[in-house]
Amino acid sequence: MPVTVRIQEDDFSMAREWESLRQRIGGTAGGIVAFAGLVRDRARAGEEVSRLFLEHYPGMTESSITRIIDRARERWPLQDVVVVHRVGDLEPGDQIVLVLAASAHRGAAFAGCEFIMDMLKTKAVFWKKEVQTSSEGTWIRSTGDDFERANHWRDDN
Amino acid sequence: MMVRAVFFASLREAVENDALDVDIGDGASLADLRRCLAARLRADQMAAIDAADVRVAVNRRLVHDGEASVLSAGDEIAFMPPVTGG
Repeated sequence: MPVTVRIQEDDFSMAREWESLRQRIGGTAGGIVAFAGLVRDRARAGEEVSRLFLEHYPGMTESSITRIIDRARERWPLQDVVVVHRVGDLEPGDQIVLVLAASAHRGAAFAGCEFIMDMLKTKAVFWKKEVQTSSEGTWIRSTGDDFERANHWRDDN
Repeated sequence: MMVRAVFFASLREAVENDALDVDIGDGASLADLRRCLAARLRADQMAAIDAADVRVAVNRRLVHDGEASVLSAGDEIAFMPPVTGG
């Protein structure tokens, strides 16, 4: 199964990734589910975020994402998966992550995409710093909600 | 032999370095590396590295608790604070 994992500073185009995936799968898939994450202008606690800085560990980050996709494929018949994750300096409104999941049936595509996204929040090797106008910034952690979302996949399916 | 310790995010800032080359005896373990680092770094820097939620990877593979970790020349040992993506 084709898997695309890309880490990049540059922005991505949902339309371009979508089209190239659609060309690849031809008539074999029944649907593609897409998720794009954006940089919010407010932190969880409500304070304003002026900038986000993302750091990764080249090589290890890619393999951590590939492992997440492999786990998704063990659970659902996904035909093609694309994950593009940005690093470096980002501003509110910027795109930060893209997940595309294609499958013969929509249930697998929806679940696969959501699973991958939930796992990216807690298992992918990235570090994220929120910089507020008033401070040098804070390295943020996965929240209780992130862990809850990741953990709920243990019990169902 | 030479090994390289690398630090990310909050640890990079605490250590004030993204990498330190360490000359260490042949057959040294991860514990030996920690002792060498402790000799070079301040106590507060070492406390950051030794925090319970810091994970260690050798050549980009996670080392699990209790796993034997004999190092080899040229190894890259990463000290990683808790991750979050997406």
